[in-house]
Amino acid sequence: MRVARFVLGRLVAVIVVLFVLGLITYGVFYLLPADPARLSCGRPCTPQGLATARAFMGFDHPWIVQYLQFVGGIFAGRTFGSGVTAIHCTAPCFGYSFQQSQDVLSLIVSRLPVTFSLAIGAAIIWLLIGVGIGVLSALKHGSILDRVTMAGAVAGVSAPAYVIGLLAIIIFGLNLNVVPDNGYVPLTQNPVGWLWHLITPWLVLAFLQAAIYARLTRTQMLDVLNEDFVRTARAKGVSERSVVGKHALRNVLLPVITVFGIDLGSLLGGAIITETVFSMPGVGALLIGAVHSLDLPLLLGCTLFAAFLIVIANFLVDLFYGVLDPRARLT
Amino acid sequence: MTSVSAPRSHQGSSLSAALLRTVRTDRWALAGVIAIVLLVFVAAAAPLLAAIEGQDPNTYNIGALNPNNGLPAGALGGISGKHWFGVEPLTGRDLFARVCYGARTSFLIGLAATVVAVVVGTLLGAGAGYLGGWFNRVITWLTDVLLGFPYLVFMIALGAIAPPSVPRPLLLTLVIGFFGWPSITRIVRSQTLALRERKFVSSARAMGASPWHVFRTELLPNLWAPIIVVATLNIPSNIGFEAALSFLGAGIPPPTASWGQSISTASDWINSDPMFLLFPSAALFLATWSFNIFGDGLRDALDPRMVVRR
Amino acid sequence: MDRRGFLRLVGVAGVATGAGAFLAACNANPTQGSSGSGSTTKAGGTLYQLSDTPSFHLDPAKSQSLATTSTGWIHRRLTAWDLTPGQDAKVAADLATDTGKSSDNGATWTYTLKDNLKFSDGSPITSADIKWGIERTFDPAFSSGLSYHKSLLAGGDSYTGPFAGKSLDSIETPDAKTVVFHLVRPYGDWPWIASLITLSPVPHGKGTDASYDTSAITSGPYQVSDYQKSVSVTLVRNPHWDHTTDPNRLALPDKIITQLSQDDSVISQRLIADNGNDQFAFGASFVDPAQLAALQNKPDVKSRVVTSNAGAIDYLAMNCTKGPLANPAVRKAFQYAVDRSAFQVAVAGTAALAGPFATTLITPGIAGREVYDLYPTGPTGDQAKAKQMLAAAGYPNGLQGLNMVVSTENNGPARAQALQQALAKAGIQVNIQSMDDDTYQATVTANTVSYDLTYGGWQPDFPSPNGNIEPLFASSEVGNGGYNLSRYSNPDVDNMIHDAQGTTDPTEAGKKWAAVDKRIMQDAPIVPLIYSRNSFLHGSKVDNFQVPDFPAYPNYLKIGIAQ
Repeated sequence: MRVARFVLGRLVAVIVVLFVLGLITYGVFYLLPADPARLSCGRPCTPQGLATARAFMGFDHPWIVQYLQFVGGIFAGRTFGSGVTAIHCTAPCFGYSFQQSQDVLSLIVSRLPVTFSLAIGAAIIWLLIGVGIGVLSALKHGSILDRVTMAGAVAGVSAPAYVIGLLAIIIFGLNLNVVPDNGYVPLTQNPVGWLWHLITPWLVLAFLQAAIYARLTRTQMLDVLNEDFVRTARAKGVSERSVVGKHALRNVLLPVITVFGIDLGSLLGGAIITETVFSMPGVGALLIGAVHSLDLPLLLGCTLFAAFLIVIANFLVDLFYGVLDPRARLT
Repeated sequence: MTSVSAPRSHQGSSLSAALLRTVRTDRWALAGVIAIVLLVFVAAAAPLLAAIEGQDPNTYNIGALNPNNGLPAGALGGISGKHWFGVEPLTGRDLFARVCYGARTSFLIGLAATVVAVVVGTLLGAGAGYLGGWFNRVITWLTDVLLGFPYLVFMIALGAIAPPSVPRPLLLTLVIGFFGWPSITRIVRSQTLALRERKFVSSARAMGASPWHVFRTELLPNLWAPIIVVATLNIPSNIGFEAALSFLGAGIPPPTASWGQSISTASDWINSDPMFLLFPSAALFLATWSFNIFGDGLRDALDPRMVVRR
Repeated sequence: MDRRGFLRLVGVAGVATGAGAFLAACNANPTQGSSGSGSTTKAGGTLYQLSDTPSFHLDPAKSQSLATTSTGWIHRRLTAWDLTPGQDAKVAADLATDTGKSSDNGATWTYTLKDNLKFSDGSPITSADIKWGIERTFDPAFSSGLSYHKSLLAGGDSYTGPFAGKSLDSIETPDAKTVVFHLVRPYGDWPWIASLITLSPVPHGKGTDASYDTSAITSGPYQVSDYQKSVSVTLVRNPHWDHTTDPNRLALPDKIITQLSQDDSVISQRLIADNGNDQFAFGASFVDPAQLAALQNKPDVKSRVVTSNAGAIDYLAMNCTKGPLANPAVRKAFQYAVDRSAFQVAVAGTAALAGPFATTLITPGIAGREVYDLYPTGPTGDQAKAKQMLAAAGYPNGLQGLNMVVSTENNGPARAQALQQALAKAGIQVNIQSMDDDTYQATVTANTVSYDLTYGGWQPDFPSPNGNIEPLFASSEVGNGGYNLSRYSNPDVDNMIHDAQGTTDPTEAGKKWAAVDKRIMQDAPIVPLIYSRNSFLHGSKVDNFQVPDFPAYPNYLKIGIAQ
């Protein structure tokens, strides 16, 4: 019962947050000097042509009305224009991209395999490497290993993603020619090609994130190792392996999982820079393309999708916390 | 979040002591401090340094280019006694002067944005932690959502919306600062939550002190340590943001020198003029690295158990 | 191509052209193009186009492409472009038996279709299909293509497409092979308008929904076999196309695969590496200056770069409606203040790669162009003279705080800075505001604007002086999405444009256009900078890769694979 109320309350909050975020997104981008209808007006563009295009696309209303129409479309679907040439966008309609002649939802769905492959693969790598290094580093606190790996981690945190990505392409893709320089091959089409195209982006993304996780894990681990229960366990003569494995690690992983959930959530919403640098047709590339071409419906859809994943990730992390740590209050 | 280990009220002196201790005992932190001091000096003395070299960041030197392809004349990107870091391809502008002036842009915006983020983050975090209730819940939600939100997109949009009369450095500072507060709010909130239960705070509250009074006299002095740490770690990410925005073409307007903009241009030239990429990215890396390593040391010194997320 | 890609493709305002040509000494005849292996080109093979844009509009109504680029592979029009390197572009017959017969002083144009024309679905191409294809472009669902014809066809202003059952009466189809166009006024360039992609035939009654953009029925030598959105488009031979009716298309490759959404720098890298299928590939966008510089030391790659001999006009537009720039004397001072030499270096590294200095508004390769220079000065300009002229115009202390907007596309900010530093020497202080290309396009074509200066480039949509001048200088093109970036408005000039447009004799019209060109430059609304050369890179097995003077893009219709 308590859990049900918690879930229900959170779901309502999720919807409210998404609604407000969408409103802000739409408002901000609507303020841009650009006129999305101009892109459908043709060249040369005439005032009549512009007005017709605007009415057709539904941009002839105040922005708040447009936003409400957008929200309405999620439940009821939308139709642009009339007669045989009308464009139908069936519910749930998250807008229609006039520039790409496709509804936003199917555009995003078509990009999901790319982004999910990238994010999940990289997440596995960075979680293993980051946590592993962090634990080792904490156990050998103050040793050369600790110092070197932590210095490396600081370097990783400090390096800009775009430079690392570019360097990786130049070195591994073009000069050494050991991996493809860019692009994506669907898993279903060619599993080896899929792996081969993803390996560099995975490593680049994982390198940057692993540094963060190594630092986080190390700090947590040091923290836990100083806790009374660990000292007690040690004093009782419990083997070091068991102390670390059973007692310490579980407590370390709790905050790591929290951060991981949110990181993965935001990454699944699109890794803008990595996808851009490696020319991968994922959701992040779709989003940045929408920003650059001022494709308002697509932009709104992508932003809401990213926000949705983050909010859901938060929600799941909270649930997870409740399961792992019964002391956590469900508020 | 764990609590602060000992009640440390009014600890202004222990802060500077911790700083000194950090620098003395932690060689990495010392290296960070030296690098920061060096870069601040470069930023402050950029005109002087450029004058010593005899160059200017914005003057075109077509004569310093190879007339056959527009690349810097001479080896290693045109490094010479006249141009210490060589010149930019296609313009012949002096790279040493541009890197020095770029430090000004990075530090000015990085530091100012941090101040904005710290002020907003501290007020919201302390408010959420101390007042609790719905305010706490809203702030917690906002930080959670904003931390993972694709706000780079919004930064680009805001840059395009603001009229040209708004000075770009100010706009960048405000925009980066505004999106930087969630990480600070998180720390401050959790620290405040812990402090709230302490005697000196609860007794002040019991005596009927206003929230603002409690904040100023009881909370803030005890929050300085975590704020300083998280601010130090916020600076490199803000410097990185300025560079990323400039990289995406939404940063400081040309011809003002900026590392991010130089890196963006240089990435096109990576095959024909790799030296062009070397200096601005090394400078950017050094700046973010030095603040990160110093912030880490400071954190260890102030409280080895304090957890700083991100 | 989507709008972005198109803008890049035809070098519309703000999208200045990327690169230049090689030193004349290195490539004695740069317009000849290069051949991959030296062997003769025969039909066959698979050609790859590497494109940085996410889409390739197959629906002709939505396309703004040039007549001789990718959409030309699949769609034919009544007329076509005859492009011979070293010569001015000429209009040629395509589906029609000739380039059009005018009557009524040039306000009525009549075309007769050739025999045995068929669509890719096997149905015959009739005059009704021509009419239907043009009527479709008026429907707001498909209106994003070139729209020069819409204000010219009588009744076009209020027509909204054929799908509600209304037809456009100014397009008459007295029989299955005859099409008659009734225009609102005499218009000598109608044969050029009839050559634009947007006026391609669509089988009567077809193309009712958006899916036509990915599955169009074609009239050209190729048809669509596969369209994966944002990924690739595969074209294969259209069995119903008859080469005897179509001398303009060589149709050499058996198959053409366009790879979409490719990163520009990666395209260059792949073509330089020349591995595997990339040997049969060419890049749709320009080789950027960094790549060009790197290529100078690699003779094997350099031989695969083709540079145009001329190209779009790159110019500095001055807002004639605002502040000191409203004064022509001030604008004339700017003609001397710019440093074209530094600009050339900023564009492509060297003068030869960037393109020659521009002095006229009509670009090379277009019949009717007369060379003149109203404001002669040296390569680096004459900033002292500009200062004196400003003082004489009432600005002894120069000009401060001029706002210059520029697109981030195609190294726009770098080009703007080259102008900024030279203007500073003449006492003109400029602030650069760079913005994303679409924001930029919207900003400069809006009804109200706040900029003083902007940097633009313009490749006409069709090779008539009309295409150079009307879009940039007619007062009807100010705001509302029009590209009169200097907001120049002169009733005299408007009348002269109208008069030249109404002249059907090309030679006579050419003379009138040359006069308009000079007349506008007397008011100095822009500073012509250079005719920007474009460089393209192709794989070693790509043959017949020619870039004419106009348009400064490869003629896709003639590209083949070396066998």
